Amino acid sequence: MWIYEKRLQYPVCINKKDVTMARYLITQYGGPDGELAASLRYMTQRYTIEDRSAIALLTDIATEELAHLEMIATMVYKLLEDATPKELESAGLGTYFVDHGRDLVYTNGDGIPFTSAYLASKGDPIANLYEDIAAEEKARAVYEKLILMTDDTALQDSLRFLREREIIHSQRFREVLERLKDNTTR
Amino acid sequence: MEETKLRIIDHLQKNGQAIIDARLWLDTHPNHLKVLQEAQELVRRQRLLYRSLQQEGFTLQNFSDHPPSTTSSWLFDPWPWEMG
Ligand SMILES: [Fe+2]
Repeated sequence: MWIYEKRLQYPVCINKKDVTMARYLITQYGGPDGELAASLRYMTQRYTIEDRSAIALLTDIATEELAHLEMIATMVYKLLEDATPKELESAGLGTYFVDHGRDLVYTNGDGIPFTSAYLASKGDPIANLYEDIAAEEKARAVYEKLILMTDDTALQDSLRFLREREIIHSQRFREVLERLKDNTTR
Repeated sequence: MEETKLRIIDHLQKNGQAIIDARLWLDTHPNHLKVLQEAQELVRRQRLLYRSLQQEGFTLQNFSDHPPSTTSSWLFDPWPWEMG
């Protein structure tokens, strides 16, 4: 089970109204390398991996990714909050607005809905951990691009935090992977 | 939200981040006694911060280890996306 805390893992401040940025950010909500995909990927890998360290790490990182998901949601929500339908339309979010209003939807930036195919689960500890490391690196790469897409320094600060977390996660997954590889005769 | 509450939440966030880092590190280095002891101290400090925030009347976790100071706090104090 989980316990919810009524606070963000790291503060999110938005200084500038920027609807286009909301559209870019939403890929980290429901896109292939987004926080939902990350959390669900690790959550579902826990059951079969056997290694005690790996189970603990997958559980704890899956939990942290949910806190990241909440940060992204907060960014998107705040960026869309005061936007007029016309502003949403000119940022390419006209269809989104007609279909969903300002509700947050698990899609990528182009409106493609989230799919569990993103989780790419293989039933093999080594293959899954490589996938996890790749996922963290891909998320890091997305955050680096997102930082370039805004000049709001407050938003950049929150995105930088998320980028650094991906590096830590990648590092921890590598430690488990290296140990498992040493223990496997290949 | 008032100054005092925001300051406590800021401490909670920084201390809480150190706890997350220690937890992930200990997942892959379970025998690292020094980090374990540091983590225990961080958790002790976090409990004190929870308590002082509760005394300020802000409910961070609803009914987890103590009832909220007032029932209206959980409902009416700002949610994360309503702050800042
Ligand atoms: Fe991550």
